[in-house]
Amino acid sequence: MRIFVQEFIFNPLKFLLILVIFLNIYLLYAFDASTFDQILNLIISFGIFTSHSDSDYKDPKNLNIIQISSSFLILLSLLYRSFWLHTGDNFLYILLPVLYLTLVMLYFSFENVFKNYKPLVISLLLPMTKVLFIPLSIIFSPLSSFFTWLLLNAFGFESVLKGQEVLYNNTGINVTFSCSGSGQILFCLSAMIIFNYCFPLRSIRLLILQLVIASLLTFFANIIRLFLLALFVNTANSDGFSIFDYLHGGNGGLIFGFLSMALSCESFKRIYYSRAMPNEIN
Amino acid sequence: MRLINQSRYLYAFILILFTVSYVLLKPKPKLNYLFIKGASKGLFNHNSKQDTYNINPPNNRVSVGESFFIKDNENWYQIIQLSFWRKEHLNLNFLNRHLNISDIKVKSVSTNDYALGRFKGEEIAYSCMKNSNNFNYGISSERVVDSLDINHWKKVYLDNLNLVFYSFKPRNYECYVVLTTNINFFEDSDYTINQKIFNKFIYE
Repeated sequence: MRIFVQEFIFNPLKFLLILVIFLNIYLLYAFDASTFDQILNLIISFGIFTSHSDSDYKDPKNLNIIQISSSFLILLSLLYRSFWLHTGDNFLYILLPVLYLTLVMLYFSFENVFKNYKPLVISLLLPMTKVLFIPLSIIFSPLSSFFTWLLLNAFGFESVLKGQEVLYNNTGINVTFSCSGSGQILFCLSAMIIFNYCFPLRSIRLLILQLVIASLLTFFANIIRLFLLALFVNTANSDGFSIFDYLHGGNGGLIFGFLSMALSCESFKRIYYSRAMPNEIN
Repeated sequence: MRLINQSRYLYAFILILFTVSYVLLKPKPKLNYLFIKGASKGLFNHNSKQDTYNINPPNNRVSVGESFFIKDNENWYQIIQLSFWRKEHLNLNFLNRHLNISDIKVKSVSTNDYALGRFKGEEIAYSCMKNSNNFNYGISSERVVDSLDINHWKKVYLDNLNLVFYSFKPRNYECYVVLTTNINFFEDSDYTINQKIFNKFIYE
């Protein structure tokens, strides 16, 4: 308890950081952000707090009135805009990075803030996933349709591929952007980048390898989901329990998200230990 | 150094003040005063407080205002006042869920559209009307766009970016949902629609 009091109550910066993090978590919840976004936001909040605590911030020396007033000016503009937030407003996603920036601007010089860039980079991951979603989906949507069609035929379920539609048994599925798996891939990649800040892999080459493995695992987990959706498409909108509706809705989709995440974490762990151990022994 | 210490308290105060005021005020789209001559207030002639058709807005994109019920010799007209954050948010799906409207089919009339559906065994037509020649069932279409239609996605991308940085105060879009058993109502002339509904409106 004493450690908690010393760490958070007598450390105003950490107290304010927790306040900022909680405000952001509340707003994402209040505005019905998707479950994926809310979970990613929790991982990002953890990443920011951990990397901020590990950062080598020096005592404020070059702080001046201009920097402090800029921080307040940005904060007030941000909160003024936030007063008009509504469900589906993408402004929600840039709240955390800007709030974090205003907070550290209040304590440290710009030089110091940019030297300790990691928490800031982590806070930018959520808006980056939103920016990358459409370009990535343009690539993954046709790929997902093709591999779903391939898997169906490989298992003897004769199907036809027509653009992004996979037709099977007089019905079919349309692989839209939200079904393409790009959202899950971005989720997984963001988590891997945060892991790398918390438990750094030895080289950038290993990080890229891990990112490729995580993308492939997530992509193929989504293909299995699409395969099942195509098989059970006739149960859509039926009375009672429907496998299609379950897997298509948020909760069923989450199972595959967690599956790919668990596999990616296992892969991260293996790469982390396989490369770290020999060095530790030497 | 003293200034820095003081500013931290101010920072915390601003954050807490924002959170409290937001939770208390919860900004929503504004609604104008509306009264309809010769109409009874309420939903489907239900005036009891335990109204089974109590319509709650699903989120702060939409505000639900007054409801009015008009009955003529042949048909009834239920009017529900709605206000959306902006016109792009217009969608009546939440109303379908609240009122249990089934067998929905969307029909187009020139640049407008309305829906046909089944409500408590009766066939009804409904749409959200701005005026007699401007009504929509839902702006966001259900059309599935080809993933390789780059121009479409470029437009979506730029529109989204634009909304992030330039959608400060809401530009409210107020319209009136008209549900009626007169299934040809939306095909009628402007004059007839005005005679039946809009000429009876009193705004403030």
